[in-house]
Amino acid sequence: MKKDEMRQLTEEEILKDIRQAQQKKDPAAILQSSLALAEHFPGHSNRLIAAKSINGAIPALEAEYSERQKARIALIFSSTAAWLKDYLTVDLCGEGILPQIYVAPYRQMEQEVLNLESDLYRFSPEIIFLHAELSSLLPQDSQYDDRAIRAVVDALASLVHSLRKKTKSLIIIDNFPQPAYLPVRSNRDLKANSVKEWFFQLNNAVSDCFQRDDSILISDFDHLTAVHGKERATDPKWLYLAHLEISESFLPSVSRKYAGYVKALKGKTRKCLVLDLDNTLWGGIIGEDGMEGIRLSQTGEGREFYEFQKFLQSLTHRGVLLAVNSKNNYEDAVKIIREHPSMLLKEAHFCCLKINWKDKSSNLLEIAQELNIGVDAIVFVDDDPRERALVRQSLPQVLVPEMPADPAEYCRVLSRLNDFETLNFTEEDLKRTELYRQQKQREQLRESSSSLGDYLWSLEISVEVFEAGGKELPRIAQLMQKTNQFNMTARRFSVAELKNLAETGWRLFAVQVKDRFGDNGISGSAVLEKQGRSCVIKSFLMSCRVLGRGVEDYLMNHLYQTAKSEGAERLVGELIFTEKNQPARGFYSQYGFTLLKQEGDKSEWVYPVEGNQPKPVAWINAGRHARK
Amino acid sequence: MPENNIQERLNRVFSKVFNCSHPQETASPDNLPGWDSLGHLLLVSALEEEFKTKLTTEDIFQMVNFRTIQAVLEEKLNHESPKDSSSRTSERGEINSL
Repeated sequence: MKKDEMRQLTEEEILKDIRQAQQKKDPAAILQSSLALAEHFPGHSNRLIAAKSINGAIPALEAEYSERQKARIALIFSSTAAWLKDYLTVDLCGEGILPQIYVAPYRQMEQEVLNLESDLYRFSPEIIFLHAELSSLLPQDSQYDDRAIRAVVDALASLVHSLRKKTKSLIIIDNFPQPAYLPVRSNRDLKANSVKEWFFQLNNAVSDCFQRDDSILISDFDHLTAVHGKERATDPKWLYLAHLEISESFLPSVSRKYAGYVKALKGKTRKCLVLDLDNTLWGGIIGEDGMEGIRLSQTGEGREFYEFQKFLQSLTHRGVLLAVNSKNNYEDAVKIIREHPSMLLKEAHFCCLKINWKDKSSNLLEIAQELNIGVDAIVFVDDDPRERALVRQSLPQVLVPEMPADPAEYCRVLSRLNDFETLNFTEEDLKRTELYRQQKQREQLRESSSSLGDYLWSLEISVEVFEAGGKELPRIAQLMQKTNQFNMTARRFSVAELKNLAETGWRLFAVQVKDRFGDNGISGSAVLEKQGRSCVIKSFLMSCRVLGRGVEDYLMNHLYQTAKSEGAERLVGELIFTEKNQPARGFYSQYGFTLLKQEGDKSEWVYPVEGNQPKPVAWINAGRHARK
Repeated sequence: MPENNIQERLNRVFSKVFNCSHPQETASPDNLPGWDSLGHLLLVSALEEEFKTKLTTEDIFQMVNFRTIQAVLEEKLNHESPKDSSSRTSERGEINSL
């Protein structure tokens, strides 16, 4: 509300602010005013102008951003990527990520990748977007046949092969869009041997080719063009004049998609979608309209809400948690959830129900606490603009999307968010809501237990620590990306980097935790490096779900035994402070490590092997767990 | 549309795009910093938005300095019937298909 009351600066005034900030050499002010220009006057040219001034300010800002807030991105395009670079710069800066974007020189895609001495490799990107037009990979006289499909796949594979020689970065490959205008001779062509079918096969072949490599993702660019409209995805004028393949109107979608991958890489994936009830999950107000008056139905009136629930349900399959935050009488609302015949989302779909008369921000804080996630991992959806404004004001870390007046548009608005993107899809994602429900049962047990000791014993925890290999790596990479709190060094390895650890002599441990309520899956990991007479802990992290049950001590005991059996004299723990790892900072000293040295945010702790005997965690059994 | 109005708006676009206070009428890619090929694309986009018109590839090839840009725009905007110009204020994607 307050924001609306403040007078909005005019375009001229913002431009003047940018110019003054440039004269004063104030990079933070340049960034702020440029973002304001792009946000409040969102034309195409203003975005490019905002990016231009931001680019001038980025070098001076780098020192002020932590590694997690910066991203090194390479765009390897067969067409001109300049505009996309500008859009991505503005989008990422708006999300608090300072990007450094390298664009491979125009028309030098292959040279840049194949030449192992090229600027691309000197730049050492964390994430590479590879976007090649078909025409850049195929000879001009190619037919739509199997040979051409093989040629495209081979060309991509050879590019990726070269990239892999020099970089461990995540590689995102755009697949190939079916063109707007198809050379279809007759309707019969739709079935056999049509061009459409050929593109289908091509994109399948591309997906298959890279399926085994978890550090390569195929991004469905074809789908993106279809959603936007094939005809509008490319503007022929810009294509012919400047080889700009992505039209002005399409650039925001592509940039949003790319930014989603970068955010996921940087551990900025949001985990929980918190929903209001009245006029959000169903039409009408339960307290006034009652069960019969609620609009919610598979057909006819109320279908928009049913379809929205269907969409939300599909999000839970991607590992997104759902929760409710509503001002209502608990009994009234739960009755609808349990009994309404068209209520698709049942209690089991929600990991948390906050139905009361408290203010919504307090409820959101409680939800974050109960789920053990940061407030910045929450998206809050409410039809009421006043509630949205209140939450935005008191909890700016929560993402509160502007919702459209027509509930029929809800799905569309939420499907545009790039905040749920994950890089590795794992077994754990499918089961996430279930995992949190088990957690709730544990907490109930805890409340009924007379002491913490009783509680821990009654959980019947069984833990297996093992050295992780191929099939566990995606889950571990995901844990490293997503674990912010109990993470001693916040080093985030990609799957490719993890694969490489063994070669450098580092050892990767994973922890799988089970108890009487269920299997938590892989919930923690550690990386150990032998350096002379020391075993150094390069990474040590534990999912919040299992914290406080002795599992972290159990894993450390295992590392101690490993160090001992390797003949090391000491276990050395590295600790790097981040904004969020407060809960992890005291762990080494609690365990019995002593501070060895401290330099800024980094410190080293030591635990001699000789003369020390770690305390066993009595209530944890060593287990052997079935793994898929 | 009166001529000075076009020139005024043109000045505004130039100072916004090239971050300069008062563009000269003699401005060209040879003497204005930032007016390279990417700068030219940005300039064309900004002109299309400011004048709510679509410049054709032919227009863009003719626009090689400040004076020729002014000439192209005057020609374009003064030859528009009122009916035309109202349609040009509608969504850009639609204009594209005209």
